[in-house]
Parts: sequence; C-alpha cells; structure tokens
Amino acid sequence: MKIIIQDISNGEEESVIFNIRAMSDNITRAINTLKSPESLTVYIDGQAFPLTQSDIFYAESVDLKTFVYAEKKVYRSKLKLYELEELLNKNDFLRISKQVIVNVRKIRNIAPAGDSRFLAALANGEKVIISRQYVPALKERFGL
Amino acid sequence: MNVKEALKFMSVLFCVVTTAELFFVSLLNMIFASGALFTPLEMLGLVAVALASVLPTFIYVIKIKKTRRSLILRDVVHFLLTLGTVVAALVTFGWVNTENALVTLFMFIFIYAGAHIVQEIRGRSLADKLNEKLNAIHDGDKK
Repeated sequence: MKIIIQDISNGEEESVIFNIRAMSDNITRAINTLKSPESLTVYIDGQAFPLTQSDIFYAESVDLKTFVYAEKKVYRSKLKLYELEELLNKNDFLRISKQVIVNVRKIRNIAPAGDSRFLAALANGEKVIISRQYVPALKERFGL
Repeated sequence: MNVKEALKFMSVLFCVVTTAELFFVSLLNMIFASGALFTPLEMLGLVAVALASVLPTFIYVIKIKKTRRSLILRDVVHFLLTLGTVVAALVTFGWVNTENALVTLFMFIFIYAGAHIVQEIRGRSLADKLNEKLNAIHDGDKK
C-alpha cells in the first residue's frame, strides 16, 4: 500500500484519508487507533492527571463510580464505563463483564474459573473475571 | 445465566439427551430384544426422562455470589435435583426397580461426571487457545 504523508501549515486541521477498495483488519485497527485519544484525564483526590492508554490495565465500575487501574495506582474517571469504552482504543481494550473493561495487552494468562467463566491474570499480578456472556466477544477478538 | 440463556441451553440439552436415549435404547433393543419396536408409552418415557434431566438446569438462573464454595454447592444441589427428577421419571415408567437401582445410580453418576469432565476439558482447551493468541500478541509487541 502506498503511504503519502503531507506537511500542512500550523492553522490547518490534521486529517487522514484512506483510499481503499474494501475495509481490512489493518485499516480498521488504524481507524480505531486514530479515533481514540492517546491519553485520558483521570483523577486522584480531585487532582487531574493525564494517563496514557497503554498504561491502563483495566477500568471498573463500582457503585456507579468508574475506576481506572494502572500498574500500581488507582484513578477515578468522571466518565461512565460505557463512555470510557467509547474513548478507549478498540484494538487494545475489551469489555469482559458488565463492570470491567480490560487492556488485552496487559493480560498475561487466562484460566478457566468455573461456571463457564475465565480468570485473566494481568501483568501487575491482579486478576479479573471474564463473564460467560463476554467470552464470545473475547473469542472473536482473538480470531477463534 | 438468565432465563433466555437457560431456555436455550435446556432446549439443546433436551435434544441431545433424547437423541442419546434413542440411540442407546435402540442399540440395546437390537442386541438383546431382536429389534423390538418402541411402544408409545416407551417413547413418552424417553421424552419424560430427557425432560426430567434438563429441568433442574433452571437453578442456574438463580443469582448467587460466585465464590468457589457457592459454585460447588450449586453443582451439588443440581446433581441431587437431577438425580431426584430422573429417578422419579425412571420409576414412573417402570425402568428402575429395586434390582437394578444400584446399576442405574452408578450409570447416572458416570454420565453426570462425564458431562462435567467434557465441560472442564473444553474450558481448558479454550483457555489454551486464548493463551496461544495472547502470546502471539505479546511476541508482536516485543518486536
């Protein structure tokens, strides 16, 4: 595929045009990456921090509050979990239960957890449950 | 499992159990009864036993806290309920009497355990495939 990169002046808005015959997985991945912001605004004790998407391990909704988990720190997000899901890069993040969205790249291992559920062990040692209802989506993501 | 999922699963299980029953009873008829035909009552019995074996699946609709202990307890309750309903159906249609009760019990345990083992193997197999894909993703990240 030919790739053309053009320099534009400071005032112009950056844009990407794909001239394609049909959508492919690579193009879909590129669009997902371009659509999602590189970092999100999260909070600790009301203080705002930018958090790069690749640093997020998982996001969880608890009692209508959304928490974002990095390797060691836990942040609050002002967004609802479904709003956060819209922003997160769909190449990397996947809903694995009603309450949890996980960064697939941070999963180290998956093991059966009974009742047709699975347990995902993350790179930071934490474990999250993959609900039975979300297993088909996981299989589809992994091309199974 | 919600009601819709339970009904879907029960429908599939009912068809599988009925087919398996038909297959084995036909096989036994061919071997031991010189190809005897099913009576309508026996056909009804086959359907009733299949129905009795799938009805207890409804306990999976009840929401419980998913700890290891409660999941095991629920499986034990499901086993006992299924044993009760299946034996009741078998006794009703005269397929079980005091002479073959022990054999029937062992057969039931064998089939029930077999189904659980198959489910466990499928779960592990899927986990292995998912882990293979995960490793491929991690290998790609390292490059």
